[in-house]
Amino acid sequence: MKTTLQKDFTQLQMQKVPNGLFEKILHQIEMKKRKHALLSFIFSSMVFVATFVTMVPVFLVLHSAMSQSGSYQYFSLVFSNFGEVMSSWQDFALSFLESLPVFTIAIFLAIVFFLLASVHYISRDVKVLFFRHHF
Amino acid sequence: MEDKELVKKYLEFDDEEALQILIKRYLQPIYNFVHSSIRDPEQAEDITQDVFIKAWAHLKSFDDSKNFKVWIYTIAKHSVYDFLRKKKSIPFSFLEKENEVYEVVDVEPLPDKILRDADSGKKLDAALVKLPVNYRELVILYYQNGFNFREIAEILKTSVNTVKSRHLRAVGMLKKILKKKDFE
Repeated sequence: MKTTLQKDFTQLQMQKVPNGLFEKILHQIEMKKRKHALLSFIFSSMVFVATFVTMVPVFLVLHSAMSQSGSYQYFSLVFSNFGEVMSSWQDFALSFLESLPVFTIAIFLAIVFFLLASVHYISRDVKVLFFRHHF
Repeated sequence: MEDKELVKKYLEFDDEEALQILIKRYLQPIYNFVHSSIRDPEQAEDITQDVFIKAWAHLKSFDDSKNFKVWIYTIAKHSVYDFLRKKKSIPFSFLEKENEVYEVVDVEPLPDKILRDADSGKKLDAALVKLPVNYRELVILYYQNGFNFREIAEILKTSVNTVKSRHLRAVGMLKKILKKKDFE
């Protein structure tokens, strides 16, 4: 039955797609992409500025915390007394890890992560907004 | 190239050409489906545009274990229903006719005498207009777009048995309409 009815339906004329509909769709998609990229660009730029500005004081805090905790002294031992460090490397590693200001390091790394992520998104959005082949 | 490969190329490599091929491939059938459902060329153009933009926006959520054709027709169906709901024409044609009891009809081909006429396409088209939208879209999906009952059930979010019974009713109604004097 389907075959016969299908034949009947082939006599139904396909509606002609209006001229320019394909281009309209591509244009709409492009506009939406650009709008999305613009919003993302603004947001990423704000994140970039905020993280860049925050990074400097956090780095100073980290540097001071590292100095106070003696991490630098432990670290300099690797260069000044390498043989000694290697002979008891397990104790050395434990002491070094214990001396690290973990919380400050975590904050610093999180800021670096957000900074790099914002750079990634900015470069992607700039490509869409300024360098992309448009429909 | 298959639809799924084109989707993958667009999503993974941002390949604009893949997206354009997909849109070109489905523009005519989707426009035809939308036009058949709402019978208004201007609105059909807007809705078709809307269908492709929605499909593009949700392309990331497309499950590649599914059929892309079924997926995009599901979006088209939703867009048509949204439009009809806004126009408030769904309850009138959809629910009232759905609950009506039709006699079970034999499923022989549509009256040959009518369809052999030179303008039988026009007659069938005019008869389709008289079908409630849910029957009309089922008939169009099955006979014109080549979907099977399982795929139609997926598109219409209903059971295969419901699709089968609606199909019988739709064909019966179509035959009744075509047999009426106005169509001879």
